[in-house]
Amino acid sequence: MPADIFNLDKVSFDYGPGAPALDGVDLTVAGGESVALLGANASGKTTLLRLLAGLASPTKGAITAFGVPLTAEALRDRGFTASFRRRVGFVFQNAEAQLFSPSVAAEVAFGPLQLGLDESAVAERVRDTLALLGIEHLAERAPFHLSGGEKRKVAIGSVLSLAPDILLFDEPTTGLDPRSRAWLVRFLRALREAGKTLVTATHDLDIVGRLADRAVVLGEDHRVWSDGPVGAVLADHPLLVGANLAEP
Amino acid sequence: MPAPTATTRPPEDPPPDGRAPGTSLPVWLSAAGAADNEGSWAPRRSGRRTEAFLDRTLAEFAHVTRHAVFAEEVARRDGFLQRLDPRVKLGGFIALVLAVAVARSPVTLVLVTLLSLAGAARSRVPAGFLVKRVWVVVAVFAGVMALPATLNVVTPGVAALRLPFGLAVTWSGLRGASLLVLRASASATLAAVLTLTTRWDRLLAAARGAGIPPAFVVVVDLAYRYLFVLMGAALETFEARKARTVGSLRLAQNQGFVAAVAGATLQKARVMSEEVHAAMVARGYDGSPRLARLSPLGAGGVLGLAAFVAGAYIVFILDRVLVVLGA
Repeated sequence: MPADIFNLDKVSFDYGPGAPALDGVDLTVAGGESVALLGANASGKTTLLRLLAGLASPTKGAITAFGVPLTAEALRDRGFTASFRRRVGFVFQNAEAQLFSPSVAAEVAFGPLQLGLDESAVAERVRDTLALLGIEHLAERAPFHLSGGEKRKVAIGSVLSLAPDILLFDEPTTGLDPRSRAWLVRFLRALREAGKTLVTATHDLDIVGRLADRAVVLGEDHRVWSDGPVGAVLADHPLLVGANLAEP
Repeated sequence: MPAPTATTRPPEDPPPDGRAPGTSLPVWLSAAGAADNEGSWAPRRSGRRTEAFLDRTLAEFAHVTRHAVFAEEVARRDGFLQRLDPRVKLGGFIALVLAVAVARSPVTLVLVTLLSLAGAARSRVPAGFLVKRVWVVVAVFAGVMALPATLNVVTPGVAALRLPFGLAVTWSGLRGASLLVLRASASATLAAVLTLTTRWDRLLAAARGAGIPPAFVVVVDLAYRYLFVLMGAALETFEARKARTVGSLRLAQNQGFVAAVAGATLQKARVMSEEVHAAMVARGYDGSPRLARLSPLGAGGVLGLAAFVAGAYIVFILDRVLVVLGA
Protein backbone atom coordinates (compact mmCIF):
# COMPACT_ATOMS: atom_id res chain seq x y z
CA MET A 1 0.00 0.00 0.00
CA PRO A 2 1.43 3.43 -0.85
CA ALA A 3 2.43 5.73 2.01
CA ASP A 4 -0.23 8.31 1.16
CA ILE A 5 -3.67 7.23 -0.01
CA PHE A 6 -5.15 10.71 -0.31
CA ASN A 7 -3.50 14.08 -0.57
CA LEU A 8 -5.56 17.27 -0.63
CA ASP A 9 -3.85 20.52 -1.59
CA LYS A 10 -5.75 23.71 -0.72
CA VAL A 11 -9.08 22.16 -1.66
CA SER A 12 -12.20 24.32 -1.71
CA PHE A 13 -15.72 23.40 -2.71
CA ASP A 14 -18.95 25.36 -2.90
CA TYR A 15 -22.54 24.52 -3.79
CA GLY A 16 -23.05 27.90 -5.45
CA PRO A 17 -22.27 31.55 -4.71
CA GLY A 18 -22.45 32.18 -1.00
CA ALA A 19 -22.68 28.47 -0.20
CA PRO A 20 -19.14 27.33 0.59
CA ALA A 21 -18.65 23.84 1.96
CA LEU A 22 -14.84 23.62 2.19
CA ASP A 23 -12.25 26.35 2.18
CA GLY A 24 -8.55 25.72 1.51
CA VAL A 25 -8.34 22.25 3.05
CA ASP A 26 -4.92 20.54 3.21
CA LEU A 27 -5.08 16.91 4.27
CA THR A 28 -3.13 13.70 3.90
CA VAL A 29 -4.44 10.22 4.68
CA ALA A 30 -1.82 7.49 4.93
CA GLY A 31 -2.37 3.80 4.23
CA GLY A 32 -3.64 1.82 7.22
CA GLU A 33 -4.56 4.95 9.16
CA SER A 34 -7.85 5.52 10.91
CA VAL A 35 -8.76 9.19 10.66
CA ALA A 36 -11.74 10.85 12.28
CA LEU A 37 -13.18 13.95 10.63
CA LEU A 38 -14.76 16.01 13.38
CA GLY A 39 -16.97 18.99 12.83
CA ALA A 40 -20.34 20.49 13.65
CA ASN A 41 -23.28 20.14 11.28
CA ALA A 42 -22.66 21.84 7.92
CA SER A 43 -18.92 22.19 8.58
CA GLY A 44 -18.15 20.25 5.38
CA LYS A 45 -17.46 16.71 6.60
CA THR A 46 -19.80 15.02 4.14
CA THR A 47 -18.53 17.16 1.29
CA LEU A 48 -14.98 16.19 2.15
CA LEU A 49 -15.92 12.50 2.09
CA ARG A 50 -17.69 12.97 -1.26
CA LEU A 51 -14.52 14.50 -2.67
CA LEU A 52 -12.42 11.61 -1.33
CA ALA A 53 -14.90 9.17 -2.86
CA GLY A 54 -14.61 10.87 -6.24
CA LEU A 55 -18.29 11.81 -6.25
CA ALA A 56 -17.53 15.50 -6.63
CA SER A 57 -14.54 17.52 -7.75
CA PRO A 58 -13.06 20.49 -5.91
CA THR A 59 -13.98 24.00 -7.02
CA LYS A 60 -10.37 24.95 -6.26
CA GLY A 61 -7.27 22.98 -5.32
CA ALA A 62 -6.25 19.43 -6.18
CA ILE A 63 -6.65 15.91 -4.86
CA THR A 64 -4.38 12.97 -5.51
CA ALA A 65 -5.41 9.41 -4.73
CA PHE A 66 -2.84 6.60 -4.70
CA GLY A 67 -0.36 9.11 -6.06
CA VAL A 68 -2.33 10.09 -9.17
CA PRO A 69 -4.58 13.13 -9.69
CA LEU A 70 -8.22 12.44 -8.82
CA THR A 71 -9.91 14.61 -11.41
CA ALA A 72 -13.32 14.63 -13.08
CA GLU A 73 -11.58 13.69 -16.32
CA ALA A 74 -9.85 10.69 -14.72
CA LEU A 75 -13.14 9.56 -13.20
CA ARG A 76 -14.75 9.53 -16.63
CA ASP A 77 -12.35 6.77 -17.61
CA ARG A 78 -13.95 3.39 -17.04
CA GLY A 79 -10.71 1.58 -16.11
CA PHE A 80 -9.64 4.27 -13.66
CA THR A 81 -13.08 4.45 -12.06
CA ALA A 82 -13.41 0.68 -11.71
CA SER A 83 -9.97 0.45 -10.13
CA PHE A 84 -10.62 3.43 -7.83
CA ARG A 85 -14.05 2.32 -6.70
CA ARG A 86 -12.89 -1.23 -6.03
CA ARG A 87 -10.44 0.22 -3.52
CA VAL A 88 -12.51 3.01 -1.98
CA GLY A 89 -15.86 2.19 -0.36
CA PHE A 90 -18.25 4.86 0.88
CA VAL A 91 -20.94 4.20 3.49
CA PHE A 92 -23.43 7.07 3.34
CA GLN A 93 -24.99 8.72 6.38
CA ASN A 94 -28.46 7.99 5.06
CA ALA A 95 -28.32 4.22 4.78
CA GLU A 96 -31.68 4.14 3.05
CA ALA A 97 -30.35 6.10 0.11
CA GLN A 98 -27.68 3.51 -0.43
CA LEU A 99 -30.13 0.64 -0.77
CA PHE A 100 -31.71 0.34 -4.19
CA SER A 101 -31.99 -3.39 -4.82
CA PRO A 102 -35.11 -5.49 -4.34
CA SER A 103 -33.59 -7.71 -1.61
CA VAL A 104 -30.77 -7.61 0.91
CA ALA A 105 -28.93 -10.44 -0.84
CA ALA A 106 -29.21 -8.62 -4.20
CA GLU A 107 -27.96 -5.45 -2.56
CA VAL A 108 -24.83 -7.17 -1.22
CA ALA A 109 -24.32 -9.01 -4.52
CA PHE A 110 -24.47 -5.83 -6.62
CA GLY A 111 -20.78 -4.95 -6.26
CA PRO A 112 -19.29 -8.46 -6.64
CA LEU A 113 -21.43 -9.03 -9.75
CA GLN A 114 -19.94 -5.93 -11.32
CA LEU A 115 -16.45 -7.11 -10.45
CA GLY A 116 -17.14 -9.95 -12.86
CA LEU A 117 -16.82 -12.67 -10.21
CA ASP A 118 -18.36 -16.02 -11.04
CA GLU A 119 -21.61 -17.03 -9.42
CA SER A 120 -20.08 -19.18 -6.70
CA ALA A 121 -17.66 -16.41 -5.70
CA VAL A 122 -20.51 -13.91 -5.57
CA ALA A 123 -22.59 -16.31 -3.47
CA GLU A 124 -19.63 -16.82 -1.13
CA ARG A 125 -19.17 -13.08 -0.66
CA VAL A 126 -22.87 -12.57 0.00
CA ARG A 127 -22.93 -15.44 2.49
CA ASP A 128 -19.78 -14.27 4.27
CA THR A 129 -20.87 -10.66 4.39
CA LEU A 130 -24.31 -11.44 5.78
CA ALA A 131 -22.75 -13.79 8.36
CA LEU A 132 -20.15 -11.22 9.31
CA LEU A 133 -22.86 -8.66 9.96
CA GLY A 134 -25.26 -11.13 11.56
CA ILE A 135 -28.03 -10.48 9.08
CA GLU A 136 -28.34 -13.81 7.24
CA HIS A 137 -32.01 -13.93 8.23
CA LEU A 138 -32.65 -10.73 6.26
CA ALA A 139 -31.25 -12.08 2.97
CA GLU A 140 -34.57 -12.17 1.13
CA ARG A 141 -36.13 -9.11 2.79
CA ALA A 142 -36.63 -5.82 0.93
CA PRO A 143 -34.13 -3.24 2.31
CA PHE A 144 -36.79 -0.52 2.37
CA HIS A 145 -38.74 -2.31 5.11
CA LEU A 146 -35.86 -2.91 7.54
CA SER A 147 -35.21 -1.06 10.80
CA GLY A 148 -32.65 1.74 10.93
CA GLY A 149 -29.93 -0.45 12.45
CA GLU A 150 -30.57 -3.24 9.95
CA LYS A 151 -30.43 -0.81 7.05
CA ARG A 152 -27.09 0.45 8.33
CA LYS A 153 -25.72 -3.09 8.41
CA VAL A 154 -26.95 -3.81 4.90
CA ALA A 155 -25.43 -0.55 3.67
CA ILE A 156 -22.09 -1.52 5.22
CA GLY A 157 -22.38 -5.01 3.77
CA SER A 158 -23.14 -3.66 0.30
CA VAL A 159 -19.80 -1.83 0.40
CA LEU A 160 -17.75 -4.51 2.18
CA SER A 161 -18.64 -7.11 -0.44
CA LEU A 162 -16.42 -5.16 -2.86
CA ALA A 163 -13.52 -5.78 -0.45
CA PRO A 164 -12.32 -2.16 -0.50
CA ASP A 165 -9.03 -1.23 1.14
CA ILE A 166 -10.19 2.25 2.10
CA LEU A 167 -13.53 2.79 3.80
CA LEU A 168 -15.21 6.15 4.17
CA PHE A 169 -17.97 6.33 6.80
CA ASP A 170 -20.32 9.29 7.07
CA GLU A 171 -21.80 9.63 10.57
CA PRO A 172 -21.94 5.86 11.00
CA THR A 173 -23.59 5.90 14.44
CA THR A 174 -26.51 8.15 13.48
CA GLY A 175 -29.82 6.57 14.43
CA LEU A 176 -28.29 3.47 16.03
CA ASP A 177 -29.36 2.14 19.41
CA PRO A 178 -26.60 1.64 22.04
CA ARG A 179 -26.14 -2.05 21.28
CA SER A 180 -25.84 -1.53 17.53
CA ARG A 181 -23.54 1.41 18.16
CA ALA A 182 -21.25 -0.71 20.37
CA TRP A 183 -21.23 -3.42 17.72
CA LEU A 184 -20.35 -0.92 15.02
CA VAL A 185 -17.42 0.45 17.03
CA ARG A 186 -16.08 -3.09 17.53
CA PHE A 187 -16.58 -3.82 13.88
CA LEU A 188 -14.74 -0.72 12.72
CA ARG A 189 -11.90 -1.56 15.08
CA ALA A 190 -11.71 -5.02 13.53
CA LEU A 191 -11.49 -3.47 10.07
CA ARG A 192 -8.74 -1.19 11.26
CA GLU A 193 -6.81 -4.06 12.84
CA ALA A 194 -7.11 -5.93 9.55
CA GLY A 195 -5.16 -3.13 7.89
CA LYS A 196 -8.02 -1.21 6.29
CA THR A 197 -7.71 2.54 5.96
CA LEU A 198 -10.67 4.25 7.61
CA VAL A 199 -11.92 7.82 7.33
CA THR A 200 -14.90 8.42 9.58
CA ALA A 201 -16.84 11.67 9.62
CA THR A 202 -18.66 12.14 12.89
CA HIS A 203 -19.57 14.53 15.64
CA ASP A 204 -20.02 11.63 18.06
CA LEU A 205 -16.98 12.31 20.26
CA ASP A 206 -17.66 9.23 22.42
CA ILE A 207 -16.59 6.83 19.68
CA VAL A 208 -13.68 8.78 18.25
CA GLY A 209 -11.09 7.77 20.84
CA ARG A 210 -11.89 4.09 20.30
CA LEU A 211 -11.83 4.31 16.50
CA ALA A 212 -9.21 6.69 15.28
CA ASP A 213 -5.47 7.32 15.50
CA ARG A 214 -5.80 10.83 14.22
CA ALA A 215 -8.48 13.50 14.34
CA VAL A 216 -9.05 16.34 11.92
CA VAL A 217 -11.31 19.15 13.14
CA LEU A 218 -13.29 21.18 10.61
CA GLY A 219 -14.49 24.53 11.85
CA GLU A 220 -17.79 26.17 10.99
CA ASP A 221 -15.80 28.36 8.60
CA HIS A 222 -15.17 25.16 6.57
CA ARG A 223 -11.43 25.21 7.25
CA VAL A 224 -9.21 22.68 9.03
CA TRP A 225 -8.73 23.90 12.58
CA SER A 226 -6.67 21.05 13.90
CA ASP A 227 -5.03 17.86 12.67
CA GLY A 228 -3.24 15.64 15.17
CA PRO A 229 -3.26 12.57 17.40
CA VAL A 230 -6.79 11.83 18.54
CA GLY A 231 -5.93 12.02 22.24
CA ALA A 232 -4.45 15.51 21.94
CA VAL A 233 -7.38 16.80 19.88
CA LEU A 234 -9.98 15.40 22.25
CA ALA A 235 -8.13 16.90 25.23
CA ASP A 236 -8.25 20.38 23.68
CA HIS A 237 -11.56 21.53 25.15
CA PRO A 238 -11.39 25.15 23.91
CA LEU A 239 -10.84 23.84 20.36
CA LEU A 240 -13.85 21.53 20.60
CA VAL A 241 -16.03 24.30 22.02
CA GLY A 242 -14.91 26.68 19.29
CA ALA A 243 -15.73 24.13 16.62
CA ASN A 244 -19.17 23.59 18.20
CA LEU A 245 -18.32 20.01 19.10
CA ALA A 246 -18.55 20.39 22.87
CA GLU A 247 -20.53 22.49 25.33
CA PRO A 248 -18.68 25.45 26.85
CA MET B 1 -30.49 -19.81 7.51
CA PRO B 2 -27.31 -20.48 5.57
CA ALA B 3 -24.43 -21.63 7.73
CA PRO B 4 -21.36 -19.40 7.97
CA THR B 5 -18.71 -20.48 5.55
CA ALA B 6 -15.35 -21.88 6.48
CA THR B 7 -13.75 -18.53 5.73
CA THR B 8 -15.70 -16.79 8.51
CA ARG B 9 -14.74 -17.49 12.09
CA PRO B 10 -17.46 -17.69 14.74
CA PRO B 11 -18.45 -14.37 16.34
CA GLU B 12 -16.53 -13.29 19.41
CA ASP B 13 -19.21 -11.22 21.05
CA PRO B 14 -22.45 -12.36 22.63
CA PRO B 15 -25.31 -12.02 20.17
CA PRO B 16 -27.34 -8.82 20.68
CA ASP B 17 -30.36 -10.15 18.85
CA GLY B 18 -29.68 -13.83 18.73
CA ARG B 19 -27.64 -13.44 15.54
CA ALA B 20 -24.24 -12.23 16.44
CA PRO B 21 -22.32 -10.09 14.00
CA GLY B 22 -18.77 -11.28 13.96
CA THR B 23 -15.69 -9.14 13.82
CA SER B 24 -13.36 -11.62 12.12
CA LEU B 25 -13.03 -10.86 8.45
CA PRO B 26 -13.33 -13.42 5.67
CA VAL B 27 -10.17 -14.12 3.71
CA TRP B 28 -11.35 -12.22 0.64
CA LEU B 29 -11.95 -9.14 2.76
CA SER B 30 -8.67 -9.20 4.65
CA ALA B 31 -6.03 -6.63 3.72
CA ALA B 32 -3.85 -9.18 1.96
CA GLY B 33 -6.75 -10.58 -0.03
CA ALA B 34 -7.98 -7.19 -1.09
CA ALA B 35 -4.60 -5.80 -2.10
CA ASP B 36 -3.98 -4.76 -5.65
CA ASN B 37 -2.76 -7.66 -7.74
CA GLU B 38 -1.57 -5.72 -10.77
CA GLY B 39 1.62 -4.54 -9.13
CA SER B 40 0.56 -0.94 -8.96
CA TRP B 41 -1.66 1.01 -6.62
CA ALA B 42 -2.31 3.84 -9.03
CA PRO B 43 -5.65 3.31 -10.80
CA ARG B 44 -4.98 2.79 -14.49
CA ARG B 45 -6.88 4.34 -17.36
CA SER B 46 -8.49 2.12 -19.95
CA GLY B 47 -9.42 4.79 -22.49
CA ARG B 48 -13.09 3.77 -22.26
CA ARG B 49 -15.67 6.18 -20.89
CA THR B 50 -17.83 5.56 -17.83
CA GLU B 51 -21.59 5.15 -18.04
CA ALA B 52 -22.78 8.52 -19.31
CA PHE B 53 -26.31 8.27 -17.95
CA LEU B 54 -25.11 8.20 -14.32
CA ASP B 55 -22.86 11.21 -14.82
CA ARG B 56 -25.51 13.09 -16.77
CA THR B 57 -28.16 12.42 -14.12
CA LEU B 58 -25.86 13.52 -11.32
CA ALA B 59 -24.83 16.59 -13.30
CA GLU B 60 -28.49 17.50 -13.81
CA PHE B 61 -29.24 17.10 -10.10
CA ALA B 62 -26.23 19.27 -9.27
CA HIS B 63 -27.29 21.86 -11.87
CA VAL B 64 -30.82 22.15 -10.49
CA THR B 65 -29.52 22.51 -6.94
CA ARG B 66 -26.93 25.13 -7.89
CA HIS B 67 -29.56 26.97 -9.92
CA ALA B 68 -31.97 27.05 -6.97
CA VAL B 69 -29.23 28.20 -4.58
CA PHE B 70 -28.19 30.94 -7.01
CA ALA B 71 -31.78 32.09 -7.65
CA GLU B 72 -32.34 32.35 -3.89
CA GLU B 73 -29.16 34.39 -3.56
CA VAL B 74 -30.23 36.76 -6.37
CA ALA B 75 -33.63 37.21 -4.71
CA ARG B 76 -31.87 38.28 -1.49
CA ARG B 77 -29.69 40.92 -3.19
CA ASP B 78 -30.29 44.56 -2.50
CA GLY B 79 -31.76 45.62 -5.85
CA PHE B 80 -34.55 47.80 -7.23
CA LEU B 81 -37.15 45.06 -7.71
CA GLN B 82 -36.12 43.11 -4.58
CA ARG B 83 -37.07 46.16 -2.50
CA LEU B 84 -40.64 46.23 -3.87
CA ASP B 85 -43.49 44.51 -2.07
CA PRO B 86 -44.03 41.13 -3.78
CA ARG B 87 -47.76 41.90 -4.14
CA VAL B 88 -46.86 45.00 -6.14
CA LYS B 89 -44.57 42.95 -8.37
CA LEU B 90 -47.14 40.20 -8.83
CA GLY B 91 -49.87 42.73 -9.67
CA GLY B 92 -47.54 44.52 -12.07
CA PHE B 93 -46.52 41.24 -13.64
CA ILE B 94 -50.14 40.23 -14.28
CA ALA B 95 -50.95 43.65 -15.80
CA LEU B 96 -47.89 43.59 -18.07
CA VAL B 97 -48.45 39.99 -19.17
CA LEU B 98 -52.03 40.91 -20.13
CA ALA B 99 -50.69 43.86 -22.15
CA VAL B 100 -48.19 41.53 -23.85
CA ALA B 101 -50.89 38.94 -24.57
CA VAL B 102 -53.00 41.45 -26.55
CA ALA B 103 -50.06 43.26 -28.19
CA ARG B 104 -49.95 43.05 -31.99
CA SER B 105 -46.82 45.06 -32.78
CA PRO B 106 -43.37 43.43 -32.58
CA VAL B 107 -41.97 46.82 -31.50
CA THR B 108 -44.15 46.74 -28.37
CA LEU B 109 -43.00 43.26 -27.49
CA VAL B 110 -39.34 44.13 -27.97
CA LEU B 111 -39.85 47.26 -25.87
CA VAL B 112 -41.42 45.32 -22.97
CA THR B 113 -38.58 42.77 -23.13
CA LEU B 114 -35.97 45.54 -23.04
CA LEU B 115 -37.74 47.22 -20.12
CA SER B 116 -37.76 43.89 -18.26
CA LEU B 117 -34.04 43.48 -18.91
CA ALA B 118 -33.41 47.04 -17.68
CA GLY B 119 -35.38 46.24 -14.52
CA ALA B 120 -33.34 43.06 -14.10
CA ALA B 121 -30.08 44.96 -14.54
CA ARG B 122 -31.10 47.50 -11.88
CA SER B 123 -31.94 44.57 -9.63
CA ARG B 124 -28.50 42.98 -10.05
CA VAL B 125 -29.80 39.96 -11.96
CA PRO B 126 -26.98 38.73 -14.22
CA ALA B 127 -27.98 39.15 -17.87
CA GLY B 128 -26.31 35.89 -18.92
CA PHE B 129 -28.23 33.92 -16.32
CA LEU B 130 -31.51 35.46 -17.48
CA VAL B 131 -30.78 34.81 -21.14
CA LYS B 132 -29.92 31.17 -20.50
CA ARG B 133 -32.93 30.68 -18.27
CA VAL B 134 -35.41 32.27 -20.65
CA TRP B 135 -34.34 32.68 -24.19
CA VAL B 136 -32.76 29.33 -24.84
CA VAL B 137 -35.95 27.61 -23.71
CA VAL B 138 -38.17 30.06 -25.61
CA ALA B 139 -36.10 29.73 -28.78
CA VAL B 140 -36.33 25.96 -28.64
CA PHE B 141 -39.99 25.52 -27.71
CA ALA B 142 -41.77 28.61 -29.09
CA GLY B 143 -39.48 28.60 -32.15
CA VAL B 144 -40.26 24.98 -32.99
CA MET B 145 -43.98 25.52 -32.42
CA ALA B 146 -43.99 28.65 -34.61
CA LEU B 147 -42.09 27.11 -37.52
CA PRO B 148 -45.11 25.54 -39.30
CA ALA B 149 -46.90 28.92 -39.15
CA THR B 150 -44.29 30.36 -41.51
CA LEU B 151 -45.37 28.03 -44.36
CA ASN B 152 -47.86 28.95 -47.04
CA VAL B 153 -50.02 25.92 -46.22
CA VAL B 154 -50.73 27.43 -42.79
CA THR B 155 -50.38 31.15 -43.50
CA PRO B 156 -50.98 32.07 -47.16
CA GLY B 157 -49.26 35.18 -48.51
CA VAL B 158 -46.38 36.49 -50.59
CA ALA B 159 -43.50 34.02 -50.67
CA ALA B 160 -40.28 35.09 -48.95
CA LEU B 161 -38.53 31.78 -49.63
CA ARG B 162 -39.58 29.03 -52.02
CA LEU B 163 -39.18 25.40 -50.86
CA PRO B 164 -39.61 22.06 -52.69
CA PHE B 165 -43.01 20.38 -53.14
CA GLY B 166 -44.80 23.70 -53.65
CA LEU B 167 -44.08 24.86 -50.14
CA ALA B 168 -42.94 28.40 -49.34
CA VAL B 169 -42.17 30.58 -46.34
CA THR B 170 -44.45 33.60 -46.52
CA TRP B 171 -43.88 37.14 -45.22
CA SER B 172 -47.16 37.05 -43.31
CA GLY B 173 -46.18 33.67 -41.87
CA LEU B 174 -42.81 35.03 -40.75
CA ARG B 175 -44.52 37.99 -39.10
CA GLY B 176 -46.99 35.73 -37.28
CA ALA B 177 -44.23 33.36 -36.13
CA SER B 178 -41.98 36.19 -34.96
CA LEU B 179 -44.91 37.72 -33.04
CA LEU B 180 -45.46 34.38 -31.29
CA VAL B 181 -41.78 34.02 -30.38
CA LEU B 182 -41.50 37.65 -29.25
CA ARG B 183 -44.66 37.36 -27.16
CA ALA B 184 -43.34 34.20 -25.51
CA SER B 185 -39.97 35.90 -24.92
CA ALA B 186 -41.54 39.00 -23.36
CA SER B 187 -43.83 36.97 -21.08
CA ALA B 188 -41.09 34.53 -20.06
CA THR B 189 -38.66 37.39 -19.35
CA LEU B 190 -41.25 39.09 -17.15
CA ALA B 191 -41.89 35.82 -15.30
CA ALA B 192 -38.18 35.16 -14.86
CA VAL B 193 -37.52 38.66 -13.54
CA LEU B 194 -40.41 38.28 -11.09
CA THR B 195 -39.26 34.90 -9.76
CA LEU B 196 -35.58 35.82 -9.67
CA THR B 197 -36.17 38.98 -7.65
CA THR B 198 -38.71 37.50 -5.26
CA ARG B 199 -38.09 34.84 -2.66
CA TRP B 200 -40.33 31.80 -3.02
CA ASP B 201 -42.08 32.27 0.33
CA ARG B 202 -42.81 35.94 -0.41
CA LEU B 203 -44.09 35.09 -3.88
CA LEU B 204 -46.54 32.62 -2.36
CA ALA B 205 -47.61 35.22 0.20
CA ALA B 206 -48.24 37.61 -2.69
CA ALA B 207 -50.30 34.92 -4.44
CA ARG B 208 -52.48 34.70 -1.34
CA GLY B 209 -52.83 38.47 -1.44
CA ALA B 210 -54.00 38.13 -5.06
CA GLY B 211 -56.84 35.89 -3.94
CA ILE B 212 -55.35 32.43 -4.60
CA PRO B 213 -56.97 30.00 -2.07
CA PRO B 214 -54.70 29.21 0.93
CA ALA B 215 -55.12 25.45 0.37
CA PHE B 216 -53.64 25.80 -3.12
CA VAL B 217 -50.81 27.98 -1.85
CA VAL B 218 -49.96 25.47 0.90
CA VAL B 219 -49.95 22.56 -1.58
CA VAL B 220 -47.66 24.42 -3.99
CA ASP B 221 -45.35 25.46 -1.15
CA LEU B 222 -45.08 21.89 0.18
CA ALA B 223 -44.63 20.47 -3.31
CA TYR B 224 -41.77 22.87 -4.05
CA ARG B 225 -40.01 22.20 -0.76
CA TYR B 226 -40.37 18.41 -0.82
CA LEU B 227 -39.36 18.27 -4.45
CA PHE B 228 -35.87 19.19 -3.28
CA VAL B 229 -36.04 16.73 -0.39
CA LEU B 230 -36.95 13.90 -2.76
CA MET B 231 -34.43 15.05 -5.33
CA GLY B 232 -31.80 14.91 -2.59
CA ALA B 233 -32.86 11.35 -1.77
CA ALA B 234 -32.70 10.31 -5.43
CA LEU B 235 -29.32 12.07 -5.79
CA GLU B 236 -27.91 10.11 -2.84
CA THR B 237 -29.12 6.87 -4.37
CA PHE B 238 -27.49 7.69 -7.71
CA GLU B 239 -24.27 8.64 -5.90
CA ALA B 240 -24.36 5.43 -3.88
CA ARG B 241 -24.73 3.50 -7.10
CA LYS B 242 -21.86 5.46 -8.65
CA ALA B 243 -19.68 4.81 -5.60
CA ARG B 244 -20.17 1.08 -6.17
CA THR B 245 -19.82 1.13 -9.95
CA VAL B 246 -16.76 -0.98 -10.63
CA GLY B 247 -17.76 -2.48 -13.95
CA SER B 248 -20.31 -2.07 -16.66
CA LEU B 249 -23.88 -3.26 -16.41
CA ARG B 250 -26.12 -4.52 -19.17
CA LEU B 251 -28.85 -2.23 -20.47
CA ALA B 252 -31.54 -4.30 -18.74
CA GLN B 253 -29.71 -3.96 -15.41
CA ASN B 254 -29.45 -0.21 -15.86
CA GLN B 255 -33.13 -0.03 -16.71
CA GLY B 256 -33.88 -2.10 -13.62
CA PHE B 257 -31.84 0.30 -11.50
CA VAL B 258 -33.65 3.37 -12.81
CA ALA B 259 -37.02 1.66 -12.25
CA ALA B 260 -35.96 0.70 -8.72
CA VAL B 261 -34.94 4.28 -7.93
CA ALA B 262 -38.19 5.64 -9.34
CA GLY B 263 -40.20 3.10 -7.36
CA ALA B 264 -38.27 3.72 -4.14
CA THR B 265 -38.61 7.51 -4.57
CA LEU B 266 -42.36 7.18 -5.10
CA GLN B 267 -42.61 5.00 -2.02
CA LYS B 268 -40.60 7.55 -0.03
CA ALA B 269 -42.84 10.33 -1.33
CA ARG B 270 -45.92 8.44 -0.17
CA VAL B 271 -44.48 7.69 3.28
CA MET B 272 -43.22 11.26 3.59
CA SER B 273 -46.57 12.75 2.60
CA GLU B 274 -48.28 10.65 5.28
CA GLU B 275 -45.72 11.76 7.87
CA VAL B 276 -46.04 15.42 6.88
CA HIS B 277 -49.82 15.20 7.08
CA ALA B 278 -49.60 13.48 10.49
CA ALA B 279 -47.24 16.21 11.70
CA MET B 280 -49.66 18.88 10.50
CA VAL B 281 -52.61 17.16 12.18
CA ALA B 282 -50.59 16.82 15.40
CA ARG B 283 -50.20 20.60 15.37
CA GLY B 284 -53.87 21.34 14.94
CA TYR B 285 -54.40 21.13 11.17
CA ASP B 286 -58.02 20.21 10.45
CA GLY B 287 -58.11 20.28 6.66
CA SER B 288 -58.41 24.03 6.15
CA PRO B 289 -55.07 25.79 6.38
CA ARG B 290 -54.93 29.02 8.36
CA LEU B 291 -52.01 31.18 7.39
CA ALA B 292 -50.60 34.32 9.00
CA ARG B 293 -52.45 37.49 8.08
CA LEU B 294 -50.68 39.59 5.46
CA SER B 295 -49.63 43.07 6.45
CA PRO B 296 -51.50 45.97 4.77
CA LEU B 297 -50.03 47.05 1.44
CA GLY B 298 -49.46 50.67 2.53
CA ALA B 299 -49.53 53.87 0.52
CA GLY B 300 -46.18 53.16 -1.16
CA GLY B 301 -47.35 49.76 -2.25
CA VAL B 302 -50.63 51.07 -3.64
CA LEU B 303 -48.72 53.76 -5.53
CA GLY B 304 -46.29 51.19 -6.94
CA LEU B 305 -49.11 48.93 -8.02
CA ALA B 306 -50.89 51.87 -9.65
CA ALA B 307 -47.65 52.77 -11.47
CA PHE B 308 -47.33 49.25 -12.84
CA VAL B 309 -50.97 49.14 -13.99
CA ALA B 310 -50.58 52.56 -15.59
CA GLY B 311 -47.41 51.35 -17.30
CA ALA B 312 -49.23 48.32 -18.66
CA TYR B 313 -52.02 50.58 -19.94
CA ILE B 314 -49.46 52.82 -21.65
CA VAL B 315 -47.97 49.75 -23.30
CA PHE B 316 -51.46 48.80 -24.51
CA ILE B 317 -52.15 52.28 -25.95
CA LEU B 318 -48.67 52.48 -27.49
CA ASP B 319 -49.26 49.15 -29.18
CA ARG B 320 -52.52 50.36 -30.75
CA VAL B 321 -50.73 53.46 -32.05
CA LEU B 322 -47.87 51.40 -33.48
CA VAL B 323 -50.32 49.04 -35.20
CA VAL B 324 -52.10 52.01 -36.78
CA LEU B 325 -48.72 53.38 -37.91
CA GLY B 326 -47.90 49.97 -39.36
CA ALA B 327 -44.92 49.28 -37.08
